[in-house]
Amino acid sequence: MSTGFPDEPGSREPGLDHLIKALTADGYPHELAGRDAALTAFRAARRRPRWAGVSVRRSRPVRLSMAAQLGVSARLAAVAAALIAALAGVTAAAYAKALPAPVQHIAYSVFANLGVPDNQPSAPAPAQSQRPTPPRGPVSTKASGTNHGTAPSPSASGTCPCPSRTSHPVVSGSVLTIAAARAELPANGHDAFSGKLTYHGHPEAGVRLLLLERAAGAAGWHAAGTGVTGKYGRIRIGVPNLTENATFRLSGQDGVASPEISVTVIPRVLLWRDGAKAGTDRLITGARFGDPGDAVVLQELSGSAWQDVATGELNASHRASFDVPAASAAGQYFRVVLRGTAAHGASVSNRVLEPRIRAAIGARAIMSHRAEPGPVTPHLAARDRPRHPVLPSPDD
Amino acid sequence: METDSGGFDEALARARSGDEAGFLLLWGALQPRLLRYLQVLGCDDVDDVASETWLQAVRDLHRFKKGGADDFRAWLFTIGRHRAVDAARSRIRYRDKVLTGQVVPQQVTVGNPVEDEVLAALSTRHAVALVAGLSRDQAEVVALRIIAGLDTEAVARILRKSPGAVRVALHRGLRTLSEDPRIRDIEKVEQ
Repeated sequence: MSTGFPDEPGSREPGLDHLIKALTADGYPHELAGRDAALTAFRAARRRPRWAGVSVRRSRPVRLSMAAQLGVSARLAAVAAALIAALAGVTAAAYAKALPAPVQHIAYSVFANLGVPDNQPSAPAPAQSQRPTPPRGPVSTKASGTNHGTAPSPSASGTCPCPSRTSHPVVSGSVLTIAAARAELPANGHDAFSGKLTYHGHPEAGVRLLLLERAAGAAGWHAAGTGVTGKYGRIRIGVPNLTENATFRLSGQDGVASPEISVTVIPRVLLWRDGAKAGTDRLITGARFGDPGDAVVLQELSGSAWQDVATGELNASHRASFDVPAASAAGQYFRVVLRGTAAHGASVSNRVLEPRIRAAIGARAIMSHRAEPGPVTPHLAARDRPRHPVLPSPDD
Repeated sequence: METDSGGFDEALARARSGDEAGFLLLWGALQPRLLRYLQVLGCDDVDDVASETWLQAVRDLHRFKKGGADDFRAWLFTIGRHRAVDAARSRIRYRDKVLTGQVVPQQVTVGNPVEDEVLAALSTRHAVALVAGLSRDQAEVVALRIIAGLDTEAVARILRKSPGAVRVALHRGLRTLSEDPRIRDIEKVEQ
């Protein structure tokens, strides 16, 4: 068979001739490696009904054209157009779950096959496994890329209009998995999410997918990235600068969605000494990606175990300070634990050795910080009263 | 420019009717050129963009009623160009990838004849990299004209330029390529 290409532009220069021959050479094996994936896409395109993925707005001219073919009068066609427009509006509102609850339920009963969601929770289908709700807080969720369960749909107040296959998958047989490169990562770090799309077990190539993100405490989803599946149906999307816990899932335009996967960010916590006053040493802790009001616990190394000494809260500057009696704390190691919240995981600071004997044992210098911390109110932990008193900061 | 596209037209008609063998003939003929064209455009995820191009092509194949081989090639490469632009925008938006240009690898083979070395270096990959090294306009015109095999009018429509501007860009691009030292080495060997 002819390749269908015209004669290439000729050149009288041998070098250019070589160049053109190289550019127009027959396909190499690595260039034709995606043959099976292309054939799969071709078959899938033939299988799909042609209305799949077509927006509601497109239905009107098509139906008007059909009406014209049937010889319907112009007035009747106008009425039909108005009805169709109203129907399209209702359908769009139903998609967005913007209708009153009873109307939404009626719309669901009429347009369920088109993916209109119900306002009433429905029992999961027997064949679909229910994914457990990922725990919040400091415990990281180990996401499984092989969980083919049904993903919960975004809430009604969600910002993403992407369809979900929770109730009525438009394309049955499609399975989309997701896995995170890191289930826990340092705050402000980057993570990568990989997924695989299959249709009845065969990889689906060339399908655009959205990576949706729901930040901790947020009700809605927003797009965090997009990509196209490769020849093996795989996709990998990176997300930079994650500063709080979040849940992710992949979503396709035909209603296919992956399970949700949660990642936990771990803020970096620093502890340093900031001078001494009247027989006390001041220890300051800071966590840039902690939130004001987050609990921090000062711990002292006792033998081989860490014991709570005092608790405090991060102020608006993401800092807290502790005053430690110098005499009784000399030679002791301290650290701070930032407790996990819904927005981030728990984190532990560096150790600080009280400076009285630091030079004698050759410990590394502790960087002091000149900035005055904001007002904090550390208080003694009732259950772990220290062996020596911890005084509140004078400027509290 | 003569176009021997009878078999291609037949394969296109078969593919439009849903025949897999016809589609595979189209794909086998166009996929390598599509990949090379996307490489010239600077895509760093050429396979993905090509996959997306074919996906849209097969989805809309039943709507393609323009004509034969030449029109189908122009249509396919237009889709590929749009998808490449989308991919580049996506990379910029989400910063998950960095758009990088093609780098011509240096091959130094001590002891081999100059002719072998130069000819080996000028493989298809290196030829694509040479074209990608042109200015954006010239590279795309050369790619569409030579790699995709489109005629001047089709290239002008895709790039929204006048046919005269396309001819000028092609001429300048080929002249720049002919002045490349690696091309000149080939000419010396040939002479």
